[in-house]
Amino acid sequence: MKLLFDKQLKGIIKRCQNGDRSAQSKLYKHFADKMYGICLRYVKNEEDAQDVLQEGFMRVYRGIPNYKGQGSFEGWMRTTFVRTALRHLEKNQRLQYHQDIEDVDVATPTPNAVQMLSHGELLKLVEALPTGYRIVFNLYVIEGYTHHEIAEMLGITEGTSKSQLSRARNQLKEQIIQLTSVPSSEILKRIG
Amino acid sequence: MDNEFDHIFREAGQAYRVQPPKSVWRSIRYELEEARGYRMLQWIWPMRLAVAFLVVGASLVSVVQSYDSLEVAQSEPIDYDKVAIELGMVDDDVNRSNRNGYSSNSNNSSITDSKEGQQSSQESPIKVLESTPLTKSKHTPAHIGENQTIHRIEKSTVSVNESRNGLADESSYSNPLSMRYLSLVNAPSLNVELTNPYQEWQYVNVLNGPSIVPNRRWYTQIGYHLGGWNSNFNTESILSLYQYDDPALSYIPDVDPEFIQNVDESWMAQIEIGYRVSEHFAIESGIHLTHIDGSQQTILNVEEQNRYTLERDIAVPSGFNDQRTITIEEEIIDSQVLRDTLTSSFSYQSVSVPLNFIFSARKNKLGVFAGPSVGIQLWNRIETSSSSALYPELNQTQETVIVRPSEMRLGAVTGAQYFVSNQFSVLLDGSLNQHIPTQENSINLENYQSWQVGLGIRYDF
Repeated sequence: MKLLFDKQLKGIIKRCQNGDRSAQSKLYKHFADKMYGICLRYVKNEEDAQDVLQEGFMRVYRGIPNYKGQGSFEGWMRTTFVRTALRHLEKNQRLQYHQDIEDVDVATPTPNAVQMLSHGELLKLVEALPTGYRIVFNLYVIEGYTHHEIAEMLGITEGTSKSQLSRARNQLKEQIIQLTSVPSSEILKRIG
Repeated sequence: MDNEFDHIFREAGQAYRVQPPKSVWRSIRYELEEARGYRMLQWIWPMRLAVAFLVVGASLVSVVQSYDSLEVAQSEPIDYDKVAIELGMVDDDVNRSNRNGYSSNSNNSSITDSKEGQQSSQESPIKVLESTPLTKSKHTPAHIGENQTIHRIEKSTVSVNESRNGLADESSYSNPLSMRYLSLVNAPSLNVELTNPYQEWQYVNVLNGPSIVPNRRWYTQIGYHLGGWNSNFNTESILSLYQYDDPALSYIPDVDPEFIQNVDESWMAQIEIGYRVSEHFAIESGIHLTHIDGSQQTILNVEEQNRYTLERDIAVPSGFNDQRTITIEEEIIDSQVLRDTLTSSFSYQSVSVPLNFIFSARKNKLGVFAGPSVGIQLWNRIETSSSSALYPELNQTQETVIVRPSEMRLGAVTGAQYFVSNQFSVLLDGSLNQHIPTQENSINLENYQSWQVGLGIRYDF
C-alpha cells in the first residue's frame, strides 16, 4: 500500500470537502482495504461487508466537510465504519447478547501458541464467534472502546458488555488451544 | 494475561486489510453522482450540445446553399456576326464565323439596307461589356450615305487575353483542404469541424500586365466523420465554398469576380493511439490518410480582339462614269471583354502523421486539455484538369503530377471535456496551426495558418 504523507492526505481531504471526485477516488483507494477489513470483522458474509463498505464511504464523503482536522483522520474514519457496521447489523439482524452467564475459567493458551497463528487465522476465529461476542470483542479489544462506551453504543448494560467479552475470550482461547494441538494443516482445514 | 492476549488480537485487527472488489467503487461513484443530481445533467448537457450542433449545422448548410444558388456566370455563345451588326459594321447575312477556328472567310455579295442592320442590333441579345472598335483602313473611308452596303470579307480572332484570378494557375496546387482532426485516444468519435478562412497573396495576370495584388480568400468548410473502435475510418461529406475578392478585376464594370470550389468526394482514414504518461500528460500519434476529389469554377474575364475585313459598296449617283458603286476595302479590329467560366477538377492524396503532447486536468465533471502539436503531411499524388466554356481548346489541360511535396505543421490544441461518466465524455476543442512547406514544390505556395474547432465524443477504456 502506498504511503500517503500527511501533507498529501490533507490536500485530499480538503478536495474531498469540496466534492472533488478524483480526490474521493484517491481517498477510497488509500483506505478501502483497511476499512473493508473492519467491515469483515463485524459482519460475517462478504456481500454484507461490501454493503457496509459502500455505506461507510458515503457517510465519510457526506460527513467530511464537518471534519475539522482534530484527531487522526483514520481514527475518524474507523469510527464511522464501526458505527455503520453496527447500524447495519441492527437493521438486518436482531442482535442477541447472552446475559448473566457466569464466567468459566478457561486455560489461557501460551503466547507461543497464539503466535503460531497468523493475523488472518486469528481474525477468522473472531469472525466465527457468535454475533454478540464478536461485536463486543471487536469494540473492546481491537477498537479500544471502554465498556461504558460499548454499552452506550449498543444499548446494553456494562455488565452485559463485560460478560460478552469474557465469553468471547474464553471461546477464542479454547479454540486456539485446540488448534495449536493439531498439525497446521488441520488448523487450516478447521478455520476454513 | 488477558492484556497480552488482547494485544495480539489488537495487532492482528489493526493490520488486517482485505482488498474489496472493484464493483464497490463503481457503486459508490454511481451513488455519488445520483446524490448530486448528475443523472439529470448527464442528459441535459448532451441534449444541449446536440441542439447546438444541429443549429450550427443547419446554419452552415443554409449558408452553403445560398452560395450554391449564386448565379455562376455562364458566357453565352458569341455570334460574331451579330456583334458586327451591333457595331453597325456588317449586315445580318454575312457568313457565320468559325469561333473555334478563330477565322473565317466570306464572299457574300448580297446587299442589305443599313436600317435593317440597325434593327438587328437592337434585337441582339449579346451583352458586350466593353467595345472599343479600332479602325485601320487601307483606304480613306468615304462618306457613308444612305446608298451604301457593307460586306464582311473575313473575320479572324487576333488574340484572346484571359484575366483570371490566378486560382486556375498557381492555386491549383494551393491546398485549402488540409484538415486536422480531433486527436482522440482510444476513442470512437463523432466530430464536426469548421475549418478556417485564410489569406494569401497571389500572382494575378491582369489586362495591363502582370502584377501582384492581394487576394483575400475566405474558406469555410464543415465536415463530419464517424469513427470506429480505437480508430477512425470514415466517409466524409464536406461542403466548402470560397468567397473570392479580387481587386485586380474590380475596375471592370459589372464583373464580380467569383470563385467557387466544391469537394465532390473525400474520405479520410485515421488511426490514432495515445499513451498516458501520467495522470495529466499523454502523447498521441497516429496516421491520417486523405483523399480529396473536387472541382472549382473560376470566372474569367476574356478580352477578345477580332479583325474584320470589310468591303464597303457605296452607290454612285447615276451618270457618273459607268460605275454604279465604288468599293472600299477596310479592316477593323474590335476589342471586347467577355466572361468565361473555367472549370478545373483536382484530386489529392496525402498521408499525415501528427504528434500531440496533451496536458490535461479534471475537476469533477469538467476537464480541460491543451498542448503543442507537430505534424508531417506528405502529398503523394496530384491530378488536375481544366476546361473553359468559351475556349475549350485553348484552356483544356490535363495534368498528373506525381510529386511528394511535404509540409510540416506546428500548432497548439486546447479544449474542454464534460464527463458524462468516467469513460464517456463530450469534448469541444480548437487548434491553431502554422503550415510550413518543407520543399520547393510544396502543395502550398505560402506558409499559412489554419484554425479548427471540433466537437466530439470520447470513450476511454
